[in-house]
Parts: sequence; C-alpha cells; structure tokens
Amino acid sequence: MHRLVPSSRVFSRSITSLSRHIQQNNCYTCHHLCVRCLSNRSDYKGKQNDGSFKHTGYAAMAATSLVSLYMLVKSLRRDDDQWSCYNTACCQTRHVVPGIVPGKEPSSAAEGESNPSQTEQTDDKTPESWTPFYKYLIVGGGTSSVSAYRAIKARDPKAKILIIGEEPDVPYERPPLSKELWFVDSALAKDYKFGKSKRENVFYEPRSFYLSPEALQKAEIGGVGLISGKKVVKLDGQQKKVWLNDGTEILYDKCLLATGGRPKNHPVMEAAEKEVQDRTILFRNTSDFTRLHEAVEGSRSVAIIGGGFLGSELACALGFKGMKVYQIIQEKGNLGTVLPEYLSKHTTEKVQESGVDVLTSQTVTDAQFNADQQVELTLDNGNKISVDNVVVCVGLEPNVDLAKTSNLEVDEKHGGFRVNAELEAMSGLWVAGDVSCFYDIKLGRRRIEHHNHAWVSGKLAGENMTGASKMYRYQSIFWSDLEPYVSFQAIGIVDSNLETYAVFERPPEKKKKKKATESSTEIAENSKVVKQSAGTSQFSTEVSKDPKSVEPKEEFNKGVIFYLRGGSIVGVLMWNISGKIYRARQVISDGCRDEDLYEVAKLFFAPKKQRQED
Amino acid sequence: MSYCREEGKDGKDRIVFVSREELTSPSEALIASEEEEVQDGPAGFVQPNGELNFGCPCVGGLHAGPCGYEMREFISCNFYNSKDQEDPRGQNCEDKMFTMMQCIDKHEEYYKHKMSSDPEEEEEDPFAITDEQEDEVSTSHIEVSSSIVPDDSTTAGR
Repeated sequence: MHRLVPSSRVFSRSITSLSRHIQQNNCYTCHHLCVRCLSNRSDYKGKQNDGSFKHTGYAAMAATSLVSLYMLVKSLRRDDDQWSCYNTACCQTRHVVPGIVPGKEPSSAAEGESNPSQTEQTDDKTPESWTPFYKYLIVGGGTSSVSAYRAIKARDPKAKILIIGEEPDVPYERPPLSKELWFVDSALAKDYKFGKSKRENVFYEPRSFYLSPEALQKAEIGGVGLISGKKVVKLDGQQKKVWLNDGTEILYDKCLLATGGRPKNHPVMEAAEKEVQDRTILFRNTSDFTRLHEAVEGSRSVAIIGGGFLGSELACALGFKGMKVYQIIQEKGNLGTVLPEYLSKHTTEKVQESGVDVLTSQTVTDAQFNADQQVELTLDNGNKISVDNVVVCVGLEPNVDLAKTSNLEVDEKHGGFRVNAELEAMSGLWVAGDVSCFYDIKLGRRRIEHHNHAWVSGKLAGENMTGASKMYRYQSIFWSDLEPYVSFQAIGIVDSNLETYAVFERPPEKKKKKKATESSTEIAENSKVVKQSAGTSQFSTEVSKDPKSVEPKEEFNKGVIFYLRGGSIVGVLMWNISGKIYRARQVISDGCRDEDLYEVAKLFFAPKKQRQED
Repeated sequence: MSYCREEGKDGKDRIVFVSREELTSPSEALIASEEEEVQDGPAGFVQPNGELNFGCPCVGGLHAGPCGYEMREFISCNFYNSKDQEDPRGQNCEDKMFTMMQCIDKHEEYYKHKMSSDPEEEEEDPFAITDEQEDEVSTSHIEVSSSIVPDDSTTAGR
C-alpha cells in the first residue's frame, strides 16, 4: 500500500459523511425509515440491523476512506503524477447531459434511439436487425424501478438495465413531497431539498448516474440507463418487445412494469369551468408539488378534498405554512378508511388543533369561480366555502394503459395488473409498485399504494428477474406523521371495516385516590364515550359532563391496534410506538389465533432491556 | 397502584386501557414466525456463510453506480484475501484498486456529490492542509482501510 498521509480532519469528515450516507441508506431501504430517523422519534436500532450495520459500516468506510484518500492525494500531486493523467477527457462513457431530456433533443439521444444502426453496437445481441436489445428493461421511473435495478445489479454484477420513464425528472421518492418539503425553507423546497444536511433531495441519484442508451449498449460491465420523457405504448410478452411513443422498438429479456398511477380527479372539479380547473391541483408528482408550492406562496386559503393520508398530510403541512385550510372529507374523520372510528375522530381533532378546518361527512357538489377571483365550493349541506386553490386527493388510478395494447390482465376489484405471488404476469414480465395487484400468500390478493411497498416489491421483482423465484412474504409497512400530534406505523391489512382490538397505555392519573369509589361510574361514563356513537358532537359532550375523567386527548397516547379477520391478526397499527416493527412482522406471520391478544399486545410495550424474551 | 379498564364491546372495536406498569410486565404470548416473512433476504453485508451481500440496504446504490463494478471487485478481493492468511491486509488487490481509482476519477463529479452530504462542514476546501491541530481520530480507522473485519468490532460510525 502506498504511504499516504491524509489530514485526519478530512479523514474523519469523509468517514462521517459516508457513515451518515450509509445510515440514511440503511434507513430508507429497510423498514426503519429515514424519515423517522430525521425526526428523531424512532428507534431505528432494530436488532436485525445492528450486526449488518457494523459490517457495512466497515466495508463502506473502507471504500470511502480509500476514495477520499485517493482524491486527496490526487489534488496534492496535481502537477506530476501518474494518476493525474486520467481526466474526464478520457471518459468513454457518454452521460446524459444534466438538464436535457433525452428524446427532446433531436441531436443527441433521440437519434441514437431511432437509428441505432448508426451508432456502434459492439455487443448488440441481435446484429441482423437494428432493434436495440437490453437484457433488463424497466418501464416506469419511480421508486420500484430504483429498488429493482439495485437488486438486479447486486445479483448480476454486469447487468445492463434500461429504464424508460414518462416523467422528465430522474427517479425520486414521493413521501417528502407531502411531508418534509413543506417544513423547510422555500428556497430549498423549490429544488426538492430537505433534511438536516440540506443536500438531501428527493432524487435517488443525480442525472449523471444514469447512462444514455447508447452508452449502456457499449458498457461491458453494464450499468443503468435512463430514457426520460418517453412512454411505452405497447408490449408484446411473447416477442419480448416494447414500442415507445416515438416509434422506437426495444427488445428485452426480462421486463418490469412499474408504471405507478395517476391521481384521480373529483367529478365536480373535472367538470368545472376553466378558471376553477386552473386553480385545482391533482397532487402526485414533483411538478404538482412545484405548482402547489408556488400557488401557496401567492395565496391565503386552500381547500383539500379527501381525508386520506395525502389529504391529511397536506392539510397539516399547509396549515403549518400559515394558510387557511379547509379539508373536506367524505368519511366521519381523517384516515377513516384505515383507523377505527374512535381513533379517526381523535385524529380529526388533532388535525383541527393544527389549524385545519376539517369538514367531515361532507362532499363537494359544485365549484364556481366567483367575483372575488376565488373558487367557491358548495357542499352537500348547502354551505359554501371560498378559497384561492383546491387540491384534490381522492385516490390513485393505477396506470394500466398498457393492458389495452398488450393483452395483460387487469384486476377488476383492486385495479392494477394481475400477477402471481412472485409478482410475475407471464414469463419474463413482472409488475411491482402501485400498479401491481399481486397474490400475498398470507393475506390474499392485494394492491398496495405505499412507498415501502414500492421499494419492497421492486426489490423482489428485481431478485426474481435474476432468477430468485421468491414469493412475496416480507410485509411492507407504511407510516404517517401528521405533525406534530399524530404518528403511527402500520403493517398488513389495516382496514377500518375489520374487527379491531386495541391496547392503549393509560397515562398515570393524578386524582386516582379520590376516584377510588367512583371507578365504576367512571367506567360506565367512559364506555359511552368510546362507544361507536354517531357524530363527533356526542363524543365531546359526554366527556365534558364528567370533569374528573381523563381528557380524551390523553387517552390515545401510545397504543397498538390489531386488525382481525377470521380470528387471525392480519394487520398491526402502532400508535406513537416506535421500534417494534420486527415484532409486528412476527405477529402477522404467526396470526396469533390461539393467543390472548392482550398478552400479544404487551409485546409492543416491552422496554428495550427486556427484549430478549424470544 | 394500577388498574386495567376494558371498554364494552360495542360493534367490533375493542379498546383496553392499561397502566404502564402492567403493560411492561413480561408477556406470556408465544409467537412462532417464519424467518422468511420477518427478514428481508440475507441479513447484513457480510453473511453468516462468509459471503458478501451487495444487495444489503446499507450498500445503498453504490454497487449500481458508475464505478459499482470496480468497487465491488476491489472490496470482494480485499475481503476474501483478508481471510486468507497469506494476504491478511489485502495487498494483492492493488490492480483492482487502481482500476477502481481510475474509474472514480472519471466520475469524480458524481462521487464527490455522493460522498459530500454536509455543506456546513465543507465551506472550506476539504483538501486543504492546514496547520491546525489534528482532531482526535481513532487510529483504528487507518487499520480498517486495508482489510475488512467481518466480525463485531468497535464503533462503526453510529
């Protein structure tokens, strides 16, 4: 080894920065999510990760320390050194130029795509025809695609993977668009930057990471290529060929469909006049974020239609930004399709405390552009609200455009392409992410629209594309943070229509001694309170009658909820509890049919010291 | 003093409120889980059978990067050689290291971006050699740079 004398400060810095990088990767790509790490609320030191981190820490530190050493020495010996002759002029690999979308510039990539015979194709597998061939093809440039190519590359080191994405942006992660980006400075948010270091942004890799299709063809050791702004309009699973919207044909051996979805529109907004539609945003992509972010800066009020995750998160975020926010919800409370009614109502109260005017059990029946240059929404109870902008968050329409042209099966009940337990639609074709309706051997046929599922299913598809033949068994999780009061993680089937069993930690009561004799009365009072009663007004009235009872907001501090189907636990929701996802996975794997659910619930409250019982 | 309160079963949602003392007492539940359903593939970078798992989440996208293949070759060489008694410090992997360095140099911009994630620390030239006192850095870092220790060691950055 050459003797190198680095500045130890540089050393420690580079190691620190890489360790942090690895930490972040560790969190993002496993079930301990980085957003939790950043908010310092989650214990991400899950036991199965401790060992792995030490090893990777060393390997990565080794790699990085070498890299930083090398860079340091190179800069030190700028004038005359054997290493300094390797500069970018020697670079054989043509990268996509930042800011330019291949396909929109006729001089560069488009030429390469439509006339591949003109470029050198030393390792084109089909020399007779001029249709380019890539062993691995990924249709769609989202989270599943990134996870898939990483899995493919891990198992097939020289893999050539081509991604075809419809959006102009390189692959990015979606959760920050409705979470972190609203809590950082506007200037940072405009570039989609967030997080402590502020260099973190939503894009998984910069554009320089991806190769152009021609460069990918030539790369002996493979790589990941990206075509942005193009759409696959037809796929033939027998010929293993795809057609792009510009007429390009591409042959593949293994293909992954990860086309995601488009936000649904509300029928009233869809039919409204142009001035209303100009002020209506269907929220999904980076461009939608930019549009809403700009709209927010120039306005004061906003209405959000939809009470699910996206709607509630945006409502809280925009409330935080100081806007006057109305949230119009069809259900009785926020997250009404996920949380049991009592908890949904509790959540609604919390959201209201954040400054959002939540209008439950109401729908929009009309939308007009009024004389005050505002959008006037009429609700089914006759009330009208006037706002500057409207955001529609009423669900996702999975993108199954290819089904019509490609003879692919679509699931009528769940939507999306129908695939088996290994995410395979037919031989050589897999589907992952929001658009994948797959068979979960434990919980039945499902389609999941959460970020972690996109990651987990993309990874599984990538592994199966390289011959793993694994079934979907590792359950993905989802989470929500409605800053700053509501925070939970959930796994499995979490449907408010199911029977539930919940255990909540009761905060210590200060007036206990006085109430010893009144305990039975109190129980009767409170059981009315948390009953499945209709209407939020009854809920609060019952409580206020008994001034000595515990405030409702304290009652749902920390708890675990089991969702039951056929006597088995099929879903677990951890309310303000962190670090117990491993336990939740075990519970779902087992089903716990014959267990006392109370004892099972206790597993989620065990303090760290006692976590040696398995 | 603690007591458990069970809410009446009305419809389908049962709620139990329990004091902390009772909740943190040991549970009697016995859970049998299949490891495949609980673990997402091989655990960790270095697997129990001694092989390297580049699909570990901790690697992130490094193995798929522009120099991912070269890095992988080098790290694998280093790792397997370190177990071999003849070459415990992996010095026979120099050729692979040079290949990797050349590649990193070609893609300097990408790797600088990747490595640097803290602008507060980098307002000055990171490669400047100054006469400041050296920070106290554990010398174990320097030992690690030439061989990868698969077993549990000291601090790993967390």
